[in-house]
Amino acid sequence: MTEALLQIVNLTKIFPMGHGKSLTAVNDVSFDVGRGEAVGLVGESGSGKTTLGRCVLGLIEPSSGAIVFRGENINRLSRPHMREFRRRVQMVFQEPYASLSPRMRIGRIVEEPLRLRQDLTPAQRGKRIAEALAMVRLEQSSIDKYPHQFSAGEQQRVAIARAIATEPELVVLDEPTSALDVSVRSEILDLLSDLQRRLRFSYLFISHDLTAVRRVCDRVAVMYLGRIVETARTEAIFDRPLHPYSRALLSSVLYPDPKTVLPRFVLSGEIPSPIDLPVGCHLHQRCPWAIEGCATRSPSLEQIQEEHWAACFRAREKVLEPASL
Amino acid sequence: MSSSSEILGMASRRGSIKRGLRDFVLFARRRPSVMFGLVIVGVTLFLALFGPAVAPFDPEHALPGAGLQPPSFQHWMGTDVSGMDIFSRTISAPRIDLVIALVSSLIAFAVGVALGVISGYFASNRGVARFISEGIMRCADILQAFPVFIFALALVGFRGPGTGNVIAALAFLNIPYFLRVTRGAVFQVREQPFIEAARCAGNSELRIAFVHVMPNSAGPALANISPGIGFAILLTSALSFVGAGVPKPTPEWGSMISIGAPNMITGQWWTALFPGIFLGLTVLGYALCGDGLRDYIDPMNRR
Amino acid sequence: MASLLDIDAVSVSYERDGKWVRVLDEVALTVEPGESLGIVGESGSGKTVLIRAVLGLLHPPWRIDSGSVLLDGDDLLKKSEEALLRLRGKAIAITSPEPRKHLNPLLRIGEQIVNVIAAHAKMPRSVAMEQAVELLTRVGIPDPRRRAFAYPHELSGGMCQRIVIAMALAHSPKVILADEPTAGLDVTISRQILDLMHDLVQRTGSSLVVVSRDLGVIAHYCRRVAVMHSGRVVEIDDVEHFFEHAVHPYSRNLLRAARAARDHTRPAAPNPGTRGAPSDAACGYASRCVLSEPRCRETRPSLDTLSLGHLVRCHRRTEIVSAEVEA
Repeated sequence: MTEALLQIVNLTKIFPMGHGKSLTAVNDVSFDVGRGEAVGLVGESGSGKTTLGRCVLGLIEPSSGAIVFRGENINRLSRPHMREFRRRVQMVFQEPYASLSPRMRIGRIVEEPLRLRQDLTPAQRGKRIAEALAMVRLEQSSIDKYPHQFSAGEQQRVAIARAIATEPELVVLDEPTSALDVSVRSEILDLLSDLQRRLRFSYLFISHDLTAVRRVCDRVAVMYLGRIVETARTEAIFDRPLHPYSRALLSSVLYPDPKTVLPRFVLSGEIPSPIDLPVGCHLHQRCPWAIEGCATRSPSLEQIQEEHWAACFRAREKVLEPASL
Repeated sequence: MSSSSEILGMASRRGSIKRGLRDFVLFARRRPSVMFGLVIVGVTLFLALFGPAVAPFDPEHALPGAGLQPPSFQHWMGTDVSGMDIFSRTISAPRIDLVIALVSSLIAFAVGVALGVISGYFASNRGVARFISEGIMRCADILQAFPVFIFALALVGFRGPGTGNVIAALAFLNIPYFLRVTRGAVFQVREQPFIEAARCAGNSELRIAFVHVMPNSAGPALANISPGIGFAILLTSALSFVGAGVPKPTPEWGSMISIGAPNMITGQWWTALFPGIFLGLTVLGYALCGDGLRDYIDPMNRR
Repeated sequence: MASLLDIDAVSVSYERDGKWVRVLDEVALTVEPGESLGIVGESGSGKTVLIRAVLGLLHPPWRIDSGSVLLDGDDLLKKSEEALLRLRGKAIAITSPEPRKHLNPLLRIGEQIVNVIAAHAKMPRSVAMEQAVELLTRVGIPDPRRRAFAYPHELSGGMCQRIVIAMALAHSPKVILADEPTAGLDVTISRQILDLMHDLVQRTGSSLVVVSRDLGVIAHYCRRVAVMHSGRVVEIDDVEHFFEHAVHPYSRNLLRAARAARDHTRPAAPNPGTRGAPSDAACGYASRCVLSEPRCRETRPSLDTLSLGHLVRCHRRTEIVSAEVEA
């Protein structure tokens, strides 16, 4: 087992909200991303997945815990090492247009992260830019154009080109297809999947869309209110979700086929606010499986099956039941 | 999202300036007041460039014995007390006014935007950054608290009259306005994902402030240059009126009014009236044009 | 049986820079009593304009060129503003893709529902308040009596949408226009909202028109579907039939893309293209259609019946159906 490229160790992030209240966005989260592995991070609002992504990139400082990249804690890096880090870890954002500098030409946008590589001559940089654009299937003439001249899907391709230009080892993607029309999504997802297999970098794919994650990721972690509630290989989660929240997520997917039966595994009520976290298991007020103990104790991630972990007191018991989704 | 996208959208409208200008003219066609303003701006620009050249008489040359003549075929607007042709002086005045107004506005714009970016981008709740950004804002507050004219007068009184000092005074006074307007835009722009992306690309904060934030926050300030020019013209005239502005023989509406005002009482109404009308129309025109420009840019082509 | 809502050849134009641009071209749709119709279209298809036209909310620079919208035989397009005010919220109601913005941020939500109730029925305030609380219960707001005193900003997006639905149902309207009912909502909440709307509509017998970009929503919550593209209706069909036997090339591409987005094993579908050139003398999809022929660029196809309940606007529809041509 190769050493993990990225290790998230007991990461917690709390935002003070004034008046003595605080928002716990990420609550003691630990997991790894291996070299060349595509890991999906799935959750809805309040899950903390976006905050986690930004901590991984060093854009937000954790309250406690550590982000360890290639064995080094990224929040303790010296300036030159930070530059190295930035070169190796890149990000693709949710809003394609808003993530590109509106007054810069595409060529310059894609070139920006390349300036971190001081060993490249301008000519070499130019070549890299051309290669990156080719890999995302954009025409070379794009170099001189401005972001607003492109469609949302193409803008996202530019963002992807920018992310891969430095030949990173890890790309964090924050809802890369959520802002795109459905018709464009599968193209971008395929592109992402394709790039990852060819260039062999790792992904941290953050999304609320389980089916998008399925297309791209080898492993999935499901988050709810700042905690990881389940993690397994992608197919395992789809075949047999062990945590009730994962089940609810899956059953909320509306397949464009009237013949598929919609499962009625629906959670009741609203997602609680991360400022006022419920005591005990965060899901217990909405969970159809809840029993007495759920209101007082908070379950931790336990290995239920091979490579399949879930944080639910009843996961083991429910495994034995038939998977009636 | 709406106004930040407006700002960004405005920033991104990368069509050539020529096309933007043409579109604006088309826009003005539908709005008579803006059209009027545009015409005034056009006329004053023309006069600034060619006024003294097309003037029938030398605007600074006194014709002894020809003083205080009423409007006639030879002197369309009559002559003033020194025998200088009022018409020639009136149409030559825009040059000095516009030069002062444009230069001071540009300086105020450049400094105001730069300070606005710094104070907006680095505004935070702690540390040196807070000290700097808050410091800048308090200085701006102090500056804006002064009655404009008094301050200009004081500044010019301190440094002496003369065109250069008028420019300096005006520039100084207009900085806070551009600063605030830019700062507001910066607050929105700095939340945008492309700023985070710039950080991921390894840019230093200073570089982000000036390469990424500034070009995208200068829009609102740009839209407000035009009324600033009108105001600058008014202020120049006011300073010249009290003798603290442009030196004497140089044709300038304010000083013309000042020279001609006593004559109005004795019945020579033309000496101060014409420059007064021109001044009023000009300031109005620039203000209307500025309003129109603002409407044009934000929200785009609103009906 | 006469349709409840009969939108007949409605055309709408918009004035820009002195020229009139057509944005809706002879849109024709019917909604039966108690039926749920889905309108599918991506950005630029004109679906929002259609809703506003039906509700009489189009003002200059928009202009209704022709057509009629019959609600129970009554043409809404010919009604005065006063008459329309009596209908909106009572006979015909709407939900919003941005529920929070749909609500007045300065009024408590109970107050807002009472306002809707009082707008169309005279009754003492206390009675109206009771009805409001009852509505809140019906839409699944927990602790409704206390929640009635909350302001919109204190509530989540899902709750706001429930309140908007409560307001829409206040007078048991004949037809509800649900514009992107799940926009901006979390997945699990969307599911709740859709189930809720479905149950409520079934119980009150109202007709439901769901406007959505999401074919998944249409598949499970509508009985009939109409596809719009660049201002025209290009296909109308029963949902079950549509998902297996859609004929219009745009519909087929939409389906392919939707399936690909949901099914990781399918290859990516090509972008079907959202906006065509709305021109009188051509099919709006011709420029992007793989099956287009010269006549597609020269003549506008008409929306004709292919089989019972199935209408398609495409010159080559019969060929496509006979499956000799693979779109």
